[in-house]
Amino acid sequence: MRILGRFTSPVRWRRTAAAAVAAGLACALVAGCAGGGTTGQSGAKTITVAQSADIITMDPAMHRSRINQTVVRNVFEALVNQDASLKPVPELATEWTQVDPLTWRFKLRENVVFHNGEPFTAEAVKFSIERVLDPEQASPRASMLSMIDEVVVEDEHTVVIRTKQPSPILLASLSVNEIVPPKYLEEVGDEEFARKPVGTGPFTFVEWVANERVVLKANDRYWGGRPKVDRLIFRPIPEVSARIAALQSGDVQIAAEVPADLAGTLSGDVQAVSVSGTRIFFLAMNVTKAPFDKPEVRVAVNQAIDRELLVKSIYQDRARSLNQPAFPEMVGYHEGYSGYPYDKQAAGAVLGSIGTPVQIDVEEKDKTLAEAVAGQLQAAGLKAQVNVLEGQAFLDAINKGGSTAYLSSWGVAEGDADVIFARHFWSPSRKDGFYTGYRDAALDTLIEKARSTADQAERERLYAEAVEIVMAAAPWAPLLNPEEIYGVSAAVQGWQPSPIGRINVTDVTLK
Amino acid sequence: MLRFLLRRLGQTVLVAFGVSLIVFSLVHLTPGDPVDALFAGENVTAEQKAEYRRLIGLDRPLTEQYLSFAVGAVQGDLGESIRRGVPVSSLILETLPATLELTLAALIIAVVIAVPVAIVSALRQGSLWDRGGSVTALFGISMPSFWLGIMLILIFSVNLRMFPAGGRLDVDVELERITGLVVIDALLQRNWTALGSALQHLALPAVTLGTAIAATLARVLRSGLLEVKNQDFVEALRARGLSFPRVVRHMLRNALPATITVMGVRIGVLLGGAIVVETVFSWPGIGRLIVEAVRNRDYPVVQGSVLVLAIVFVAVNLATDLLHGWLDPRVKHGRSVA
Repeated sequence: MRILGRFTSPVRWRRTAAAAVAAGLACALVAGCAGGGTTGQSGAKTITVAQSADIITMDPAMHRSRINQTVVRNVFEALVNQDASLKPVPELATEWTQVDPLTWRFKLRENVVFHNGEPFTAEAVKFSIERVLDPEQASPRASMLSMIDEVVVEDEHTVVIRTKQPSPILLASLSVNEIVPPKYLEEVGDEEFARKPVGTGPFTFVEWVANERVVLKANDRYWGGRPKVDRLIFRPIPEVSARIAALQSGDVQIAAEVPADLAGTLSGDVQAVSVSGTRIFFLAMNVTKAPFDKPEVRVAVNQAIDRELLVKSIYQDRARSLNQPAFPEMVGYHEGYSGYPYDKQAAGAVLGSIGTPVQIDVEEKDKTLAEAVAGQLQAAGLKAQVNVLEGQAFLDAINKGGSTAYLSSWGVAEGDADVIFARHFWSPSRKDGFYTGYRDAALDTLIEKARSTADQAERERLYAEAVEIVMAAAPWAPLLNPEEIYGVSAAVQGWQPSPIGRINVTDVTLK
Repeated sequence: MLRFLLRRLGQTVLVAFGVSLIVFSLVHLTPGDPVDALFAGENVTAEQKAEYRRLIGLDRPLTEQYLSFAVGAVQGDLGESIRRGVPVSSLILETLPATLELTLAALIIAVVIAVPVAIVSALRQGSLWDRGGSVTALFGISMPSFWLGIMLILIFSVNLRMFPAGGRLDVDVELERITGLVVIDALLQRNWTALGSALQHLALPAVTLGTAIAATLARVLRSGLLEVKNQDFVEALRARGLSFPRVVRHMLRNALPATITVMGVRIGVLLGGAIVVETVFSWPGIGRLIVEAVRNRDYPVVQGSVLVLAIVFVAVNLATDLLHGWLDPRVKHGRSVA
């Protein structure tokens, strides 16, 4: 041991350690010097956007995901778009008229070309819609356009769409179904098209490295004028802390899906920017199971929830409380309805006498909100417990009626009450989604009428009535409508988030 | 030797069969299915979903589905991803090299850290060096990778801006993928910009994963060296006046076989750790592929990638056994030696 000790003398080890530290520092310095920014080595002005997942495909007809749509929508465009208040605005169609309840005529934008030079015409519109509806294509978007009966080309720049029954959400549905180039697609086939997509949008496709990035570059021939940045890159960063770290370190300039509790931590070079969202959070009660089989219990639950407090404490005021299953921008929102104001005493009188514990099923992502709601219900005397289920197990429980109560949310990007009512309160939809098990024949008739009426004023009146019926029966306790929050670098100027998750950077400049 | 190899190959086939059966049953037993996941939260009727299930063959009896999966797998066809509509094998070929690169880099870092620490600790057992090393190793083992990863990102990406917070290459860097290991590809093409960028991106995740392995490795190697240290041959070597590094080399050679066997068995832990590290650093490896596929109930992707990982696991263990035999000639494969 003595001999060995000599070899391991402190001096020798100190020298080795110093060399190691020096090598480490050298590496770090080299790395530090090569740090990136918004202007890369090629000098191109680049905006990099971090989303929570990778895209599935670049073919606009073959996905059903908002994250995918956000990317695809920069390469492709639709007949119409939706503005910040969810109203339809011109995109590839410059104007439209509803000729009769079943017929819509669209005037198309002229002198628009696809990225490969193919002209955009009425034929492309017909082809794109029929492609989605073609059973052979097996497009997951087919159900969105199922109201369409036929598409008729009147002339090169006029197209007529006929629906099977009057459809209040036709324009909203068209705004999420993009136009593809028929000649190119027929020439190269679906697979090659997804690999080298060609649209009319402000950006052209460069490359997609799965799980790493999608790179787009400015379309010089864009009808709306060339974007002011040269490149737009989307990167999947699933972990929210990693997404924010990438924003703070300058790796990305826009980070999507920032939770409200982290929005407050963004400051300095990066800011939180938000816009009212289109998602409705609610507590649903199974009307076939005790104790929620009694309407007075469901009403008491509505009274026991202090929605304003939820908005303040969990969403840091980045949300709106809801007194009905709709938010103000939606067609069918009942302006004059007052809902159930917070009344702990009245709620306690009913809920206090229920001895059995009640389970609220929830997915991990909504756990915090569910715990806060359960806490308020407990304060009013109901023994509410939160039961976290994994995503698919949760869907199974609520679709088959296994849940006594559940807390969840529903996206209404279409901006129309039909999306909520036809799905959650209309009895024909009970067969594949049990949800609350609530049925009401009078309400069914009302919803059917509202679905098949083209007159918007009449629809508003019908939905107002529907809101009152549903809220009186109270299968839901509507909760709130959170804002969409993005983290944005100070270098990005002139960018506005959209309520439906679009990332439009055509007018954005980089400092 | 040949008999040994053949026997192990036979075992591999059995393991692969068992794993495929277990994974297949597990994914089909878990609630929910790919079609529900695909249309989650959307206005799609039960009939439309049923139609879609029929289209992708999910309506067939389970035994039939398993058989077609197994027959395909034997021929190297792992089926198509339900969500992405591309062959599972191509998804694995895209992601497995990223995981291999990360794991290899982590192993190198682990060896660089652990071997000197283990040597010093063993030679000066009970000293401050030894105790310091043990405490540090304990820290390394106890520290969850996701926490260490986030801390490294906070310090080196957010505050110091020295390393990127995730990904594999800067977007400006163009590099043709040959092996899929970007560091190797950059070296092969003598693309120094790409090499710098790749190493920069690799640094933090590799250190995160490497730290956990280094800690285990240091402890195992230290106890191996301690065992060897007091054996007669070390005394004899010293008495013959061999230089210190040569004595240590002989000691290492005797301590290595046990260490390699232990580390080989731990390759599963390593791959599990890679899944966590890949998530934190947005590293596009097979771990993230599996996590995403499980979430979306993309049956073919889960089945295929777990099967491939199981085969990797078996292959690594086979390699460590062979290595063990080479390092320690007393172990004769094919004979009844433990």
